[in-house]
Amino acid sequence: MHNAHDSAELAVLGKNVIREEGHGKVTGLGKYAIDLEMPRMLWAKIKRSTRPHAKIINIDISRAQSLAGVHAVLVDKDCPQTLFGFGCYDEPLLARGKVRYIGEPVVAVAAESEAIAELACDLIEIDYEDLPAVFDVHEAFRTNPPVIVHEGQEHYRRVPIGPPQYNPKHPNAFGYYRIRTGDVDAGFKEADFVLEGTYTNAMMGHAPMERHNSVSLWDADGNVTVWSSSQAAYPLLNQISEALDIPHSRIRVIIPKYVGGGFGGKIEMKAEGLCAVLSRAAGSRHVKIVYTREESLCWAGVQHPFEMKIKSGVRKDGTIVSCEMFVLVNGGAYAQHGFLVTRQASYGPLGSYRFPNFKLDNYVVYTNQPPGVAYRGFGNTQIHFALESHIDELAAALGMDTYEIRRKNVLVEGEINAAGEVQHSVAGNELLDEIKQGLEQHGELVREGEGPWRRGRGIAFANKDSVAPSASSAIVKVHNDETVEIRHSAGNIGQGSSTTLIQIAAEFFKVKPDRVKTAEVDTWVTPYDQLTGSSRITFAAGNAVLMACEDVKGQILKMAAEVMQAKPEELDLADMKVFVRDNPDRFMAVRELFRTVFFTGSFLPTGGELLGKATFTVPSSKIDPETGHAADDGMRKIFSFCTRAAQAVEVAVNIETGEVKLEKIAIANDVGRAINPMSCEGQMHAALSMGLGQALSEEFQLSEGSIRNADFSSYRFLTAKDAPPNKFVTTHIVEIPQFDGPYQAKGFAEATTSPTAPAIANAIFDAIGVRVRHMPMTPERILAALDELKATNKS
Amino acid sequence: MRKALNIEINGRKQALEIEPNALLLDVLRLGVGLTGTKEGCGEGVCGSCTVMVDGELVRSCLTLAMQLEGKSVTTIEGISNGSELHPIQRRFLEHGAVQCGFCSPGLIVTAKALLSSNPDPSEAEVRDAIRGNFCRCTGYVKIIEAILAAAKELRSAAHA
Repeated sequence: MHNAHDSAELAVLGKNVIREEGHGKVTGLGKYAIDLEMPRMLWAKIKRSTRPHAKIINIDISRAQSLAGVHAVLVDKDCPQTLFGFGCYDEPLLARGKVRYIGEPVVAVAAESEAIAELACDLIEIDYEDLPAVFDVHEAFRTNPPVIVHEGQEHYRRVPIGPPQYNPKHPNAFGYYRIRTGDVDAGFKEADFVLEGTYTNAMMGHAPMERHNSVSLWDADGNVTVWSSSQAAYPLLNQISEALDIPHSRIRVIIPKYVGGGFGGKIEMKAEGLCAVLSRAAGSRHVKIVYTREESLCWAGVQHPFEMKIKSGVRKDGTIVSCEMFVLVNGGAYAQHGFLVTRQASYGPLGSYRFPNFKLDNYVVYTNQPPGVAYRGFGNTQIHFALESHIDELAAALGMDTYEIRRKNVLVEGEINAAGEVQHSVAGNELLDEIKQGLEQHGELVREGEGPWRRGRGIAFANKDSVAPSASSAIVKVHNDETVEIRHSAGNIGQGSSTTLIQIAAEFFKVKPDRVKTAEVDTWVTPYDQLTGSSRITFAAGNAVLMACEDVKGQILKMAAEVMQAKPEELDLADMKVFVRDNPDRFMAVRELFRTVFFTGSFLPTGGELLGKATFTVPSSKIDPETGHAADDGMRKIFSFCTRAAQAVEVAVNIETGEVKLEKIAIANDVGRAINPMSCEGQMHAALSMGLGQALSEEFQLSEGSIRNADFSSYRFLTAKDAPPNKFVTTHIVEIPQFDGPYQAKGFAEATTSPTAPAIANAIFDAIGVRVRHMPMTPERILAALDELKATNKS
Repeated sequence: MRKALNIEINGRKQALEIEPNALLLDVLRLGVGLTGTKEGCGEGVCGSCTVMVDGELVRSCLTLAMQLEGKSVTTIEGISNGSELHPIQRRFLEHGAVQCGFCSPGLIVTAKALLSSNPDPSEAEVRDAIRGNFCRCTGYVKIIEAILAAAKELRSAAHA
């Protein structure tokens, strides 16, 4: 074979290829949306509600309008009278008639500078008439609640999903999911031991380092162009379309190559649509908005607080025979992603363990709190905190090893789970083996630390499903210098998806990765992608790119066949050389195809381009709304794929101060196949940033709908000093091939944050014998639990 | 009323006219067009806006530019030698210390100052030096690896 086709040297899968946009990031030269400046651009500011629930009596904008440098001031009546949402359409661009949470946009201003826009907001006077507000999820869930957050909810337009989402018996609930398997009561009778527990979590923020920001233009031709730090171009385009009541064809969304984090908090539209309306009102000038840290942290969507009641029955040997869950999700004032988070969280446990009898009811409820949105893990961080804490409690009650109880119940390859879904590419025991070895390599646990410090170890497992149906399109262009350009709309928000796609294409063409590049996301250029979310990009976009590569390869072979006087099916392509498969010495370079007969230069003789395109679609089975089960249709598929994660930790707990230190951690994830191991490890280290913060310190202090710690000085982020030394952090990539993934790969970046908090909760129990059932496990909560334990022991 | 400010930025002398209350961050980003310096919080907590003034680290979001008459500012754009990356920058890429990259400029500038004063830091000293730089993505493991690797490389280059 021709030596150029020696694939061993060029193989790029499994290599630590340096990220495509890395140079721009380390030099500071790459432009994020927040760095963009447009000619004669205006700055926007939003005047937000200071009341959790109030009627708007009057808004006086006259002083703001007459301030020099102000170009537009908008209230609800100046905006399209639409409602937008993400499947439940309940939200106006600006508060309509009443405000439902502190922080809700009420008035928008565009001015020559950010300072003038801010001053104008201060000059706006809003008269409110306070309404009773509801913050507690139980109170809101009642059949006769003291407050209805959305009157007329039953008339909202909705995407059909599972059982009916509106239930007049619970007029504040806006989303519902249920799963029914077997007979839980019969199961409890069979059990040797039954345990009940309630687990909760505080509200936390996404806190991407690049705050939410965008530039919007509603031009003279009636087209809307938006540059945004969003993580999902097409969902944003659709939401702009819904909110502004203009067709997709008039909207263009551009997302720069540099996006400073998202974590689920940049999927939905923020002020992009509103600023387009400002742009039109200000004579079609570009309007830029940069959320303040407070707006970005608190008023751009938060993580949902869950309350999870679990009752389960086990046999003496640890086999789970029955499990019942009742979950209430505090959705905040608007639906946003609430009902989808509810659905995803409902299925999460069923991907971990075998439940012969299972019953789940999960409601998401409107309150007068900030709206919850998608958050890395999509409800799975919450549900697995509950489930994994609960499994540990079962183990403790049975006197069973914490690994053994999990091994006993974890799903295996090919098994049909409690929702009737076939489990493919399952990692269970493999992950448990890895974390056990990973932690135990540091030696035996020394329980008694110095002075008040006590040590313990804990483990947790987690599952995260990736959404289906799911679709992704890609265009792959081969240029006349034999470089490959990928046009795809996957938002690279830091996870490194561009480089993953580059490695997939480079592997296909057997070229070096520096010969492949990705185009900037621009909906006028890059084709449809569902969203950067649900850990789906490697799988869905990767498959789409591979298919588009196949398509363009076919075009190349056909064109080369004419030149080489061969049949296309006799030819093959590697390293941008077309060769006769049975006689590799007969070959031509792809660049030689570009010999134009036109006078315009080096193009294809026929004109046109080498442009492959493809759409990858994952279907799902029909789901029975009564049981949540997948139909037995030969596919039995609810999700695109599932990813599993496990972590083992060692903590030190100070019994005098309640402080918890993470001392050692072993992090294992199933990735199908590691396309870029360095990137995979980077995603796994999120356990040390988001996971650890969630476990120990991050929470909004809410009081009557107001957030008391709305800044980085008081919202407690964990820093480099809070993580254990590097030698005590191990990552374990487990490669169980994903049969339908691109080169058997799949995404996994959400599952990686879920086991951290429950593993820490379990380690705290191991260290000091107290069970903390609420995240975060702050020193105050640890001390309170210790006091409670002491009181119980005395009595 | 704008006032004159003579300042050196990344080795280049600049004669600027600025508002007396202008922050160094805004002068860099909006005035001079050096957008590599990032604003994460605007209150001096997250470290994204870190630059060097006469070799000392400052938070540009809390620094009035008028205080810097005659001083020399180094931003992330001044770290590399032309198109050749500084070893810290290269190590950040090679070790996967960059994800979303928004905190990277502040971290790289901080690391540069650390290695100038302490060419052979321990892991604990690196952690201490970057404790005021928030990163939401990486968990700091690879950032610390990258800084230690760059330190080693710079030490062996100094001995060569």
